[in-house]
Amino acid sequence: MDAIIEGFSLLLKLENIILISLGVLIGVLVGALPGLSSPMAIALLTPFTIQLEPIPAIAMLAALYCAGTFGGSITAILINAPGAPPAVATALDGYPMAKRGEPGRALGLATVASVSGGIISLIIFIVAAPTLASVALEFRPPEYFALAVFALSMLASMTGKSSLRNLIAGAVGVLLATVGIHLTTGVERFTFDIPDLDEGIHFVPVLIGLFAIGELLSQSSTLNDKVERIEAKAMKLPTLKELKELRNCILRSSGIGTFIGILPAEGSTVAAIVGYNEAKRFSKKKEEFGTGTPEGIVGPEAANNSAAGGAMVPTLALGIPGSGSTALILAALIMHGFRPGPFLLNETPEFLYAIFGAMLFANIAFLGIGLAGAKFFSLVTFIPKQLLWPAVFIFAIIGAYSSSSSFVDVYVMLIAGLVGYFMNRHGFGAAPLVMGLILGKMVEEAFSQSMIIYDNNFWALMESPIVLFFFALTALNLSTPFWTGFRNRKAAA
Amino acid sequence: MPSENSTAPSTGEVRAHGLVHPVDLVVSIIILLGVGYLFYETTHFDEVSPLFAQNIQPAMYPQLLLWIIAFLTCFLPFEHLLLRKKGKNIDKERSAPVHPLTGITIVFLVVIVLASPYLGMLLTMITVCLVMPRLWGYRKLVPTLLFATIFPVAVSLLFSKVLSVYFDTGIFGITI
Repeated sequence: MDAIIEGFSLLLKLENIILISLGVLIGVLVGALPGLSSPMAIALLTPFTIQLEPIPAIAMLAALYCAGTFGGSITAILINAPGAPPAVATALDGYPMAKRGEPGRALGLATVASVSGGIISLIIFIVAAPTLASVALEFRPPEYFALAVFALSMLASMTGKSSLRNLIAGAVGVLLATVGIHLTTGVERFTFDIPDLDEGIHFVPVLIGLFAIGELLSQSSTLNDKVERIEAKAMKLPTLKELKELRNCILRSSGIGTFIGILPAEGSTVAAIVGYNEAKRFSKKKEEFGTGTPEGIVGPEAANNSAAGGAMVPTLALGIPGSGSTALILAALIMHGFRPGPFLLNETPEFLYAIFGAMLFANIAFLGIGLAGAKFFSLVTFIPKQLLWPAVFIFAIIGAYSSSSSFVDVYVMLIAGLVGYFMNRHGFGAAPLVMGLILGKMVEEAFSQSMIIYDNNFWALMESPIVLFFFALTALNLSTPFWTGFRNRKAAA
Repeated sequence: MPSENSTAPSTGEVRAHGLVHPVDLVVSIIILLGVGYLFYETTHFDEVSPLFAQNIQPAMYPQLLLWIIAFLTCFLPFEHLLLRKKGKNIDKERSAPVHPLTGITIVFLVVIVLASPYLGMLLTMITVCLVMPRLWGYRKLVPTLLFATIFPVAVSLLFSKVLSVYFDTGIFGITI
């Protein structure tokens, strides 16, 4: 309890509150602008946070992450184009409701569901993180190796077009993590005699390239796409009677979202889709889904925001990112000299509760920002792409350059951007690559240490029940597409 | 918005290919060539004594990863068979050739990034703000000029004065 109070009190400085509010504002703006996403904003903002103390820096990024997920619903409702992928299911009922003349009501429902989902997941976070961390204290390198392998196998089920492509992208990310001087032997690997690569590939330029430049190039081919925009004059909050009717749907979706968020590599998008489907399944008015029903808005919104909180649990308690955005926050933590995982929670719990507090603040701030700025946020969708994307490119150059004041990082960013664009075109996601890059070092280090512990006997790893458990989950996860395919064929025959 | 199963060819319908998807075959070959080259590189990594390396030579782990990537890549040309059954369209985004404007943008980005050490950060930003909107078909001169003046100056002031980020001034030495 003391740690919780101490963590919260750390946030009470005016400077910290301003920075968190700024994170919320940027997050909602970025979420509301089609094409811009919270992972991209986190990637762009990370290098500048190096100037800040760790707590406000990470708190600002966490607030941005929460707000970006919410912001995506604004464009999903007003222009039928989700500002961020997690809002994809919100558009299914949000846009029809806005089109029939109730944009303010749709935004109000989305806001209340987002706030509720976010707060519920954070309460679960505050309960689950210490428990998970105390279990994780039992983890030694073999257990960490097995957990990281399991997390990488989860890339197969990550949102995207193909499990196979996600796995390949993840493996490429892990391979990229081997660039530089090998820690245990001091041997240079894949440095190609470039001294800047001795320390390995810096996270930040790669992240900026993949998320910002890759998307910029994708956007260049959609400049002439016309969208119908609905202007919202004010947000209309749901009535108490309406909230009572939607209570179960919000609670159910929040639970689903938090659970999906906690799973490594599963993110808000999956949570939103499952939240929508479950809202429909339990609804008494199934036939109204797709025509602008409130349940079709609150179901996915509560789920995607609660997944944002849920994804922070494995990120902070185990050091295993729960989504692409949390992988970026993990990179920021590492950049600030922290080693995420159980030790962080046991040694500096106040730090984690400060982040928790920032996310809680962000969730409450949506409500104020949504109420005060509905009209403004409906107008930002009118900013011409031709001015918006050059601005993003400038931030990308500055972000890549300022991370180590080196133009080599700018070149790395550009290469990552070009590769990211072609990867995306062929169905390989950027998020699996980033997660591979972040987890890569941990996998190799944990594997090397395990081999030392077990005197190079790989099979001795299986003596640990936790290792066996994670390997069994990995095998189950990787074989799922095959046995579901087999079962479907059998059912069809 | 076209649906996943749209029949319009321009949006990339779920097309029936033979056993092997031709585009994925090319992608697989490119990946395998890259894997082959990198594997060759790993054979040139220095070796250390087994005691020092704890029996795990520096090349072992990257080689293992390269084998995994190569193994997974071998399935890529046939994956469309599985995806087609699930109704997923892997060709949706790549059915059309790379948009000419995307090609032009790539060239511009490469040129401006290569020129940035010489131009310096402020001139680079101004050039981007002037040229990119025009390249992308934005014809309103006054907003472009205002954007190209105010935005780079504001960004420079924010980062150099508030966040203390040092900006390279380039060969012209222009800064704020």
